[in-house]
Amino acid sequence: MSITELSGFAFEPDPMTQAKSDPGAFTRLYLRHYDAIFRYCAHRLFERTTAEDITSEVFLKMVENFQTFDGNEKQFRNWLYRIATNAVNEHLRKTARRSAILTWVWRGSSKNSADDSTAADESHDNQAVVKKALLTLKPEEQAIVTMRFFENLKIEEIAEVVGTSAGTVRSQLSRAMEKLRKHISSAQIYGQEVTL
Amino acid sequence: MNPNERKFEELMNKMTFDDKPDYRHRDKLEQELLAAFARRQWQEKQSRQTPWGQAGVWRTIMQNRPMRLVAAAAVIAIVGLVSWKIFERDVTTPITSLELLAKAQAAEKALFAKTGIVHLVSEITVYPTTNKGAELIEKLGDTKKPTEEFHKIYREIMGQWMVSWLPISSLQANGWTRTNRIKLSEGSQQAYTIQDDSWYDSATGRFARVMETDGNIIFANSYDGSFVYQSESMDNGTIKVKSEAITANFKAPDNPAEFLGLTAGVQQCLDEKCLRQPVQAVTNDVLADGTKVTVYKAGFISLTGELNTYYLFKVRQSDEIVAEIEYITNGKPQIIVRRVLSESVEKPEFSWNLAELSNKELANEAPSPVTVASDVATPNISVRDMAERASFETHIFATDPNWTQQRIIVDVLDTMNAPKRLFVVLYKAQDKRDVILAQSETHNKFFASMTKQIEAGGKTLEKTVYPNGYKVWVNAGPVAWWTDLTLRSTGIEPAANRSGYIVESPSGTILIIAINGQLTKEELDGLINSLIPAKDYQVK
Repeated sequence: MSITELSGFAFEPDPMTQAKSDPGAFTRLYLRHYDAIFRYCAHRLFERTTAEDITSEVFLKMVENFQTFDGNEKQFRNWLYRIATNAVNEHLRKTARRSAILTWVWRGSSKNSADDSTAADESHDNQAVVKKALLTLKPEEQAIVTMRFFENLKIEEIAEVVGTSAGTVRSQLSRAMEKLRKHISSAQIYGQEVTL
Repeated sequence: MNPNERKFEELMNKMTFDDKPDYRHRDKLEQELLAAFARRQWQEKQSRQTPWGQAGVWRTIMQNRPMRLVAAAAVIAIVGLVSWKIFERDVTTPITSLELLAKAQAAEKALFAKTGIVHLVSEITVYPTTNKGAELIEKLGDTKKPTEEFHKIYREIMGQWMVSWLPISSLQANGWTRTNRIKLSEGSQQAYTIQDDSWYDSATGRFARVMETDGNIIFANSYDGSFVYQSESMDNGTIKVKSEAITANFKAPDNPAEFLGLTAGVQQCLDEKCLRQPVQAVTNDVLADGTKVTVYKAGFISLTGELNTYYLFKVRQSDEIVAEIEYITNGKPQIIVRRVLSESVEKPEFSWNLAELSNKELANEAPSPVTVASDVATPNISVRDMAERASFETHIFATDPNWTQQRIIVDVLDTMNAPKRLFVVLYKAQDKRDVILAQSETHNKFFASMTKQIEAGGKTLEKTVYPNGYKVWVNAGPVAWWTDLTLRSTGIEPAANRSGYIVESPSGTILIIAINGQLTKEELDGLINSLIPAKDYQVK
């Protein structure tokens, strides 16, 4: 017999409020968002182990600040993306690491090119070009491109994540696309010339 | 999306990433997060103790961390048990305070979900202990803080505070769960080991649980689909099994792990509504049978930096099932619960209706020094019951607060002062300004000690005297903090603007009033003016 039944009143606790005091609700909230945040990190970093490390960092930071968060679950998701964006950007700013990723991506591409000829190899080669192009963007631009094209967030949602206006996001996205165009326009991607 | 963006999106869609979540990482992180969550909650709880609002003698007393902790100990000990199976039954938030064990408990539940009849065997070893809680609280008033003596008493209280008895849950015919306790007879000098057998049929929800020690059956509870069977301990040390037809509201329990198996009852001790001991250390160990376990050591660090009183939860690494739980204080085990066996069987050793035990009073050859008492909590008692059962003068509002709609009185074992009782009166309000009135001998002793400390420091305790002779203490300490505890103990999420009052009756007993919101001056005056001794209450 629950307190609700005992008292005869129906209380519908807000899930976000509940998650602040109830480990069960907190766990359910975490499980609802883990996949999205991990994928976002993986799409930004192209590397599982680092993506998992950053995902851990994101959620641990979330716990530290969760009591001060005041919003609904959608805002919570955007808040997580913001923490993730900051964490990934911070990570990428470490130049040595960034160079290492670029080298890794490029090596993968070269190896595939050398092995040559199969459709799979070609696909890997093309991916390496795109990934390399993405990594040449500033971390902030890369975040916007990733959220827009991989995570399918709306411009307004990205604006909330990065803490700016929708107009600014549109401009940044446009600039990022222009840079990407320059990097990959001459490449034959997936059997076609890409003109962005 | 413009054509360029669309084209880029198509390009992106063709890309492959190593982005499939690895659930081993997800689950491992979940454990870390739950531990971090528990730490944060504890820190938050600590920090909530600060908004004392008004300067005064209480500030002097309560700024002293030991005193705050002792006060917390007393208040939690007093009201913490109320939530045990009374208010929390069927609440859909079963995860407990030791979040690191959440998965282990889920695994326990999974054991019962197997097809067919599941048979679980545990061993419970109970060590002799003396409850000196009330005496210690009284002594606290005679000590000067922060002397060695004060610390010593404080440490002992902390030892008493932790639940040093094992709750045994049983299902009743109305679907409620009753909390019982294993009790050693006074003066018992030796430890006793109890064998706890449970059978559960997941297809029908039928179950049987029988506990025995030295050949004596000391507890039994079962459900056969129509009736619930429950043993009662008799005064002569025997038990009698009583049957009761299930009521219309009864439903077979969704989670048998709540009252069967190794985490039964103990699960409630982990509940955040009860005590939240942070995990202080996580180590690996190997049990005598070669089982590798992860050991979670959970308890509160004492003022002197020691971990005197704690739980050891030993969780099997192979399947995350709890293998053993130990409660230790001052280096000595108080209770050990150990998993012995889990197996699938064709039929239980006892009938679902406990026919082997029913129809007769089980005359044990010699009265067992170990009994299972059902005196932990009784909900929905009357005002008259409260007045009659109490060992002290109890009080009640002559008329329910006019913004509340329902009153529930719960009779609870006063663990610091067992077998004496404490009483919690809960008034539920649709505007959420629920009111709780709590009173017990431990409350009286604790606040008497506080008064003594205050007066010994040359201060005077200010009180507002009402026409009916009741006095409200002015500057009554960290109200936000203790009202938080009181509200939580009854399963109410405390509001930020909660409020509370310490009221002294004309006969000198203490009443704690916690409100989940604010009262106007008129409402407060009305509330205090309507207080009367419970024995004088007239049913309207």
